[in-house]
Amino acid sequence: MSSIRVDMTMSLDGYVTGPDDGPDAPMGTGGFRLFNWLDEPWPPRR
Amino acid sequence: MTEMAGKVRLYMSMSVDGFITGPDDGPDRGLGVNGERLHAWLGDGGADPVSHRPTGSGANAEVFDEMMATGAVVTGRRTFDHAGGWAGDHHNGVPVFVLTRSVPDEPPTGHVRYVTDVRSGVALAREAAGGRDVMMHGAAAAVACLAAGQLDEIELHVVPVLLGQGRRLFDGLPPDQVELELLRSREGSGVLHLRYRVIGGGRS
Repeated sequence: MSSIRVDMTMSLDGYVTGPDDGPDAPMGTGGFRLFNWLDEPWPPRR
Repeated sequence: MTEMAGKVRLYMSMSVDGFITGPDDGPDRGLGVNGERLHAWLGDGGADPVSHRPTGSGANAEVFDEMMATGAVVTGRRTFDHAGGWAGDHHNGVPVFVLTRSVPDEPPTGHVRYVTDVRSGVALAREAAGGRDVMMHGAAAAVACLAAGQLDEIELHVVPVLLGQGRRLFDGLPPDQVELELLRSREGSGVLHLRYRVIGGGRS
């Protein structure tokens, strides 16, 4: 049997978006930080 | 600060959904309903924190020993009160600084001192620790110290449970993102110990 597994990117304080998410800002304010691990170098450039 | 100064490190047991107590925590039930689950990785013991050392020599015992090797404690008032003030001695008689908005009339017992300002309170603890690390405890204290840029590191004991309700560790933080760097990850029996450096916090 296959498993159903939740697969979510989450901040250490438990958020999956920044504030004010909606159709125009799917990850909320600043929330795309959560997806840095997908393709961004670490640490982030400043 | 000198090279000899220790780190101010938050130590907290947290559920995967971010809770540090179950619901309805209070003086008679410091960890809330079923919140004891979060401390299951610790050993059985009494009111004295030192008595809860995990058995054996694995990661849990080592992390616990590091905690008890700190040279001062900074805690929030709620955590302090809900823990019965540890009878005035958290471990080994090191000074305990309790952050509070209002200092009680009755004098503190044992090695306890009340402080009302985050920055000066943390500075006193660093000095009192004499080069050893400072253990921080409590959600409100953590949030206040993070917001004031006074926290160097965070050691989370992440417990594989979803409590669903309770008191969150990182509640009430301002919307500014706080970047963390994972310094260490240790897998103990029934708990994952994660140590992070607070980038731009404390003395880093």
